[in-house]
Amino acid sequence: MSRIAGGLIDRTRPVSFTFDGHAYQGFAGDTLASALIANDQRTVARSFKYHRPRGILSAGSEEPNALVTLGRGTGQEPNARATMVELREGLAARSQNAWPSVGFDLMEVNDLAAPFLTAGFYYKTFMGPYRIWERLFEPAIRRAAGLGVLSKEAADLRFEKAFAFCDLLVIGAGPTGLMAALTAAEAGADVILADEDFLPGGRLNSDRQEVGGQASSAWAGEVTARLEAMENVRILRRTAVTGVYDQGTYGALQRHAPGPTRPLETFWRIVARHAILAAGAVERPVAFANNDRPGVMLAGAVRTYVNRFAAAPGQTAVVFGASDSVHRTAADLRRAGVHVAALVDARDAPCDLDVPFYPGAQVERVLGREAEGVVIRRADGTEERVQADLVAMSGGWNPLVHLSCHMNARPVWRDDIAAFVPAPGAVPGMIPAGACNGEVTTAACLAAGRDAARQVVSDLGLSGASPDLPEAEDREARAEPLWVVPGKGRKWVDFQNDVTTKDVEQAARENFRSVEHMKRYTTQGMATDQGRTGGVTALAVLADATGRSIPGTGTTTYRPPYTPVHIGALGAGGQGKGFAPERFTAAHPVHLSMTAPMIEAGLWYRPSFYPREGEKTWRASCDREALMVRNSVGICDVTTLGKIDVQGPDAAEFLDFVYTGTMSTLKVGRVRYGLMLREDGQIMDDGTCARLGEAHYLVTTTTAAAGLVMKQMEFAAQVLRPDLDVRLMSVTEQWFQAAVAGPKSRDLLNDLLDAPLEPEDWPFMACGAVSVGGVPARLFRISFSGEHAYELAVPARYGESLFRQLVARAESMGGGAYGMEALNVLRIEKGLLTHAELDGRTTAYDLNLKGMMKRSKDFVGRAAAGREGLLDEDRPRLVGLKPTGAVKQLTAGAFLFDPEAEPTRPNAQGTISSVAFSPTLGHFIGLALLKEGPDRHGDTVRMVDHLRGISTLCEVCDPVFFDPEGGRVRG
Amino acid sequence: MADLTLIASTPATGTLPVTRGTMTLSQADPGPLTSIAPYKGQAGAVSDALQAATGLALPGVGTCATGKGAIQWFGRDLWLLSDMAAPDLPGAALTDQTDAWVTLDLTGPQGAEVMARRVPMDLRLAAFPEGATARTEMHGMMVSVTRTGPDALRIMAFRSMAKTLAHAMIEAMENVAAL
Repeated sequence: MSRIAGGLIDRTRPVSFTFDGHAYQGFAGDTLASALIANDQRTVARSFKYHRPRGILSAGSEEPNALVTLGRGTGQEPNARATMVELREGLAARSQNAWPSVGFDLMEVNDLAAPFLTAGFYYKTFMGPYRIWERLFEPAIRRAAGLGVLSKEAADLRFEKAFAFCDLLVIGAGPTGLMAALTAAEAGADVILADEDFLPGGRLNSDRQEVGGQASSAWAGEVTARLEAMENVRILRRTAVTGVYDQGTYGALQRHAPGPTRPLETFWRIVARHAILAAGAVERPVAFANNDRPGVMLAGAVRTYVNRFAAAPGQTAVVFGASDSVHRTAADLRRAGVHVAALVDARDAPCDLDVPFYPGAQVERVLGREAEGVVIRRADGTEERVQADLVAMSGGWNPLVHLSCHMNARPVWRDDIAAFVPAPGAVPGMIPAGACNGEVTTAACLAAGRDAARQVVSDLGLSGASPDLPEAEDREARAEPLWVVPGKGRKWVDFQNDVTTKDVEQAARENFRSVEHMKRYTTQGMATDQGRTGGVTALAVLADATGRSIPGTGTTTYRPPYTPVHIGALGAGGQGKGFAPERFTAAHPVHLSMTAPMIEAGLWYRPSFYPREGEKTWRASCDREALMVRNSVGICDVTTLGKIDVQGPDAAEFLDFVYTGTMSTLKVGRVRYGLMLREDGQIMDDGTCARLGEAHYLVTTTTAAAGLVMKQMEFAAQVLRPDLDVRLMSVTEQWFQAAVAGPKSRDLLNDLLDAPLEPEDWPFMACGAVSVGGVPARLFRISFSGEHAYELAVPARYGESLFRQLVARAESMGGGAYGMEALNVLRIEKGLLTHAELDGRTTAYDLNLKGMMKRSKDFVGRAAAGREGLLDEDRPRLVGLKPTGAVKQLTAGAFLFDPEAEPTRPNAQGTISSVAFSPTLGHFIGLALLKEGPDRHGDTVRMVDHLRGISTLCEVCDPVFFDPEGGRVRG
Repeated sequence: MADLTLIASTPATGTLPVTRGTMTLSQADPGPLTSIAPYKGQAGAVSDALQAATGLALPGVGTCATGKGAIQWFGRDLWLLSDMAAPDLPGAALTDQTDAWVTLDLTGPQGAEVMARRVPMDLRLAAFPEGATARTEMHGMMVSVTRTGPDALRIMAFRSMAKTLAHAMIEAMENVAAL
């Protein structure tokens, strides 16, 4: 155990966890990374390409090395950064990308092949036919190189989404963010403070310094508590702002504190009038040979582990950098009882610590598979080996400019701090402040946070005294950039994707000199950490190799998300039943009680058939139900059809405009069949239109197109004909509607309704008000089965009860309920259309309904429908089909050919849209779209279903197979 | 003709009321619902006629008014009268909507937190005070949200989607309770 005294962990709450099956203990307040360090686990992962052992590099979300897999099976979560995993009781983490174990990985053989696996290796080596690449090379490479794997089971990880609105979003809760939030909050602004960490404070928790006369971590805790107590402040801990979007919209990912009933993450969409970017800065590694070995760590992270987590990452340390902050690291290590074997400062700077000091020197190379020592090159050129199991390095700091670039701004280079900072005005309404804006001292950050918030407060029109700035360290931390140490060996710039300085130099040599080309050629910055630690170092190497300056080289594009986001979080709420709303009719419980298999029709659920005892197949039930309607009476739930109430002085004229036919001539109490076109002249939908009053119509639509029709009618009312005074209202939900179809339908209704139907008042296509059980209802004598039929509508609350009684009465008359399958058989027998025929590519002409397009008036789609190509005789048009060959089966989707022609695509004459076995006729029937179809009745065509391997000869016939005179429907 | 009684059923929400943490979701009965869509240029006259008959005038966009019954803004040129039968209003299209909607009441101090997980609107009391109403979207459903009290929100969705609405709300309540 390397647990030392102090820190911000809760030693009263020990936490047990496992890593690769071994049991360990940490404390509440630990991350998985700090707990592994405290337990002396140095190698925690294997690298992507070379399978080199890797340790923990950082203490934050920038971690490129320490990726682990959490959980197993349906709860498995690959590629979790150990530095961001909050330790919880029972946490089970595993290393990944290693076999058989992270300590001994056979794939490490890749590291020996490193001279060959440089940039562009794949492009140069695996040339050849695409198929070989796809079948051989890529799978092999994927097995060898990789990160964590998915469990390949449906994940049961829960995610949530949320929306938030505020005056000010403060991104980051370090000194800048805390001060900004406090200033704005005290002025009364509505503030959201979002921070990635579970403990607000940022580097105030990592560094030993005083703020306001107390330990900086204590000051951070105090300010956090003050903010938490304010009504107008919301602190989102564990929340990374992941993207910046138009008009002050921000995406943010919140991991939740461990807890069995909590979702894993919540994805926030935050709309903020103002934002302060206080994201801080991230430390750069130094590129020296073997700088990726376990035990080599960023100097700032070393301080975090020692000061905040009370975990010593080693026993003997070498500290290397070119800034005052490495001296601070050495001091903190000594204080923690870690032996500092060497403090190596590339500058010729003084040192007031009592440690072996190497001014003007550099760490040239790390020795050992896990760091065992270093080779130091002194200023005078001599070499010295120093034993150490910890190498703390600092190449300087990169301000976290990412979010300022999401709306296409590029950061600007500041020579004085050798870093990119956000461009002024990069994001409207967002003020970058503090370390992310190039400030280097705590005092400057606190002041920047307050100043930014004051600006926001004034923009919001608020006033109020700003809080006083606390006393804080203001010593200018002098630093010189330190990019690459000369010398032999591989020096990593992108630890996660295994990219070294050599790869970047090679890219430049091979003329991939543009930074975007270098990135793609070397894969630098393309791993899940997006090169957060090494990106600017890679630029520096490229700049050097191409003889340009760093700003002249430029940066690659920063894109959202800033940090990895589970797809599940983006799609929160969309898993399983959340994918889309489910719509149930009022009679749904009756369908279920009759054990009807339900099928989806858009969002609706409809019964497909009602199986009875002894019926072994759906066909048996379907045949019975269809014959029942033909011979006695059937009941069908047709609630799902769209119903639109159309009222107004100009309702009639409006409907003449949206339908191809004329509705203004319809008498009150009558129904007419109508067709609506899209503006492009194709059919959108068909349905009935009932005139309930002089200025009151009811339009019905198909189930599938109800929304489309409503949309088009609204468009017509608001945009195309705003001159007409008409109001539309959907009443689909208000009414439960059932079809009562068959020769005994009137008998059934006479037994059910409060007053019998007078035949002379109720001819085919009549409609009107009736009463059932004292409930006002609507009755329509319309038919989708070719039988004498009605549709009865009652307010939805009575739907379940009405349907039960209708079915009971029908059953007592030798009939019963029928479902979608029988409905389909009945309508195909009559040549009636559904969206199998109205498939969005057919015209009224194609479906032999040209006569329904009234030439005497304008209507939506009229001009387009009159185009030559849409009236071409060669277009496939509606016919009926009967099998005549040896095979008696027809299949929907099959193609039609001349009997002698090769069944290949150029010879196709049409397709079959709908088929059914007609129990009434005793054979299969089909509807098809066939070239010159109406002129070919009596001809023979060949049906070929290439997919199912079925072929048969068919006779072309009229699409109305049953009762073509329509005697039954009028009877 | 036979003796026949039709039994009314409520929208199928599953089992309600449900309490999770500080929040309770229950099914409400807002009484008769009638949509009122005044014809061109008639909004003023319709409002006057409505006020004369019921005491309620047509409220402005995003607001509602209560008296004996209640009237809420319900969309472009559209209002919804609840809890009372509609009077005769010759200048408007009236449509019975009583059975078209499922109405749920969300009560408790964390209503805004729950709704923030479902609706892309700021429904905190300051931004959405008593008397505020909105048409918005929840989980692919068109919904109406009205603040009926400091700790009470009323949510309406299409009747057929009652189960999805209740499920979505309860899930959000559970997630808020777990925080």
